[in-house]
Amino acid sequence: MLTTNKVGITGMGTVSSIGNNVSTFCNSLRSGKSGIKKTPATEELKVSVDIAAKIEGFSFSDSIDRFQNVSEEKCQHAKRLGRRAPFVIQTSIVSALEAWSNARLHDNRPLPERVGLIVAGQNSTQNYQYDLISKFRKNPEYLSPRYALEFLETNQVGVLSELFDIKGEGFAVGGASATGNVGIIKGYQLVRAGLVDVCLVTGVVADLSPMDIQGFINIGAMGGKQYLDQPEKACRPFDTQHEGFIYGQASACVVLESEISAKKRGVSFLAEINGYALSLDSNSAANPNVDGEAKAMLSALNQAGLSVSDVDYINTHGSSSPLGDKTEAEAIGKAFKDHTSDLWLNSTKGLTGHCLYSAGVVETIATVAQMQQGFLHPNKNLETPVCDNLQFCGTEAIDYEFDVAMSNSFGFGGINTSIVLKRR
Amino acid sequence: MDKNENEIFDLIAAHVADISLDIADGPIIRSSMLSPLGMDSIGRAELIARMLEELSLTASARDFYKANNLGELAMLFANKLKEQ
Repeated sequence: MLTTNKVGITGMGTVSSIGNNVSTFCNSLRSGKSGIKKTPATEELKVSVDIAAKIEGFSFSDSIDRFQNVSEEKCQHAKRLGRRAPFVIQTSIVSALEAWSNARLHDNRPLPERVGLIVAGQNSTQNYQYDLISKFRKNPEYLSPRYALEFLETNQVGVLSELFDIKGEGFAVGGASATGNVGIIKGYQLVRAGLVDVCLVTGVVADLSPMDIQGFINIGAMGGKQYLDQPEKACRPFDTQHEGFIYGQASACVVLESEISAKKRGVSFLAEINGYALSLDSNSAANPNVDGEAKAMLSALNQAGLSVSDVDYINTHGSSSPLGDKTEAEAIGKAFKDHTSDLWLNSTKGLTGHCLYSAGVVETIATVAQMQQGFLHPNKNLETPVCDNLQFCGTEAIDYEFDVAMSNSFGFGGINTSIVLKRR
Repeated sequence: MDKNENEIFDLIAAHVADISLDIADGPIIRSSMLSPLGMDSIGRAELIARMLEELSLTASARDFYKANNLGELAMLFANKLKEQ
């Protein structure tokens, strides 16, 4: 029988360009540290824009060794699974271990059958495949047989379920730039319906190949061309000089849990998920839609039993895309009407770049971290806002205690998602 | 490429040590079999793919499945190298 459990977040973990754990990530948010820079010239094929927020200095083995509250046996298991795995798998293992530890699940967990796993990621192995093309062309027999496992998104499902002994429902989801939110929403549904007590939702690194990056440039979605010599200024959500998104890398993971399970285990919600919306525009193109986005925000609030005046803050999709920012600003104005003057807005992508598949999870972590610590991070590079009816955070962080937040993610193909988070 | 059988065996042993993290059955010797060295079917296939590339051989992985131990595998690679 389906139930309607309250669902909250009990653990978070991340590996990103602005911090390889949640604590460092949060400090970077507060200080307005950006991970966006010129990419190293060592990369063999130069694309038109070489600005990105990449994960730097990541050592898989060292990252595992830093988990002091994780058993030696578990660390060795993690190393065995990830030692020769692609970068996207390694970063997922590390962020998932942090979230699992944060939720105190190592020594106090539900039965394996009561734990679910959702991998929010699509096409995440593109660069891994791209790198193997030359070897394959030389001689197909030289291709590592592990490729058959590793090019599949579900490899993440297998690796993480083995590491954490997860035997409930598990699968991978995709929703373009809204993939992370889609993963959180599907995890919320599993927990809320009582199909699992705990669900690990991991947003995977988008390891784009040079061809993918050039594709985003050629379609006009990726910016940076005007800022090749000033990469720190290239990502400017909601600023009139924005010209497209800047690619970012991050792995991010949240543990979703029912209130009953959390109480039984003696852990607290970091935040409650009150409602969500996931709806389509019936549009095969890349253009966003004001009505679709406004409908998603209002539907999420309706499901949460809240009104627009209850919302204190929106972590916007805010990708720095001219059309995307304009559309979201109009949609917020349409949905929140007179309340927009009391509603704070910022965009985490201004600091992390657009992390694509993991963006929704990264930004949920950013929202919860700000909610817990009572601040709102700066809007990097927002000098002249695209509109004057919305209240954007400035270029410095502000102290702000708030109770209700919304996190938006919108994707190509007319995919609109909003999540409502409440302080506990 | 003029590696002899002993040199090929050394290459095989090095790749086995790298591929397998579960070497629990003592040193890698010519009579060693792959399973006790922690090599599953994917590990075996990876070993053969690596050796084909390292020796610049053009052959099917199936040609090497009949080896019963690492010494026989080294011999098969050495023979294939001579043929080419």
